[in-house]
Amino acid sequence: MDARIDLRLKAEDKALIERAASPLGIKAATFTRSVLIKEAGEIIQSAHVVKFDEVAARECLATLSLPFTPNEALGRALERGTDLGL
Amino acid sequence: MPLNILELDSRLHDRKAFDCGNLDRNRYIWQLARQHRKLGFSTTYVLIHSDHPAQIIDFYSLSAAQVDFGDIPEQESRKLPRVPVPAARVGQLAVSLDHQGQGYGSLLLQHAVKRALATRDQAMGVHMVFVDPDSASAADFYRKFGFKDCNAEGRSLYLCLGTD
Repeated sequence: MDARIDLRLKAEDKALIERAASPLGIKAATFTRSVLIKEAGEIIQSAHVVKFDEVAARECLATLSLPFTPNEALGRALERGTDLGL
Repeated sequence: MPLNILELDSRLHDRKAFDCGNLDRNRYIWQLARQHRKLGFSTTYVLIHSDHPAQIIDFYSLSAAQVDFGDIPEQESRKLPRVPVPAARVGQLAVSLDHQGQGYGSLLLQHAVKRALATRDQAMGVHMVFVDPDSASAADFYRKFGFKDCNAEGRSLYLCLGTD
């Protein structure tokens, strides 16, 4: 199903978009749509991927196959939650 | 039970009355939480008291995430599948101004960990829980419960769920 987004922007910004779209041989609306979709996808992807550095990755990998062991504070919180029915 | 943690329901919970003192988090519960649920980005849970069932004491959102272990040599990462490692992300955990400093944040955090463990055990793979604290004090809160830094930037912390 088609949907619409209405944008209000400065005349110079619109002219800039038209300048960028022109050499590609596409309309400003088509250019805007493709750029927005690409940018949105990258933002969502980056928000969902957590990057480890080498030191943290090695530490994490070392615990990968160990059973879940909460520390004292988390253990207490889990128990308190269970006691409260949460 | 006097306290309950429920999925946010705009018909039951007064989102607009929530104020944690942080405009970004307020805006999240006011404007975005419902949309993100509808779009399948995240689910928001709220802690309420049965005497005031519309009042949101605190809330957190839970979403899916993936792990990028960077350039670890293959022999060191051979236990990992050849697909991104699945994880859960706790976002937007916030306690209302009237209830801060009373341990409500830890009740939500333990709930998130239990949700992640239950998902791992009953539904699909979840290997870690992530958080993205927006301040040093928030990062310290998570470190107290065993979360560790994913990188030197300290912007993401993880808790390994290990094996069952």
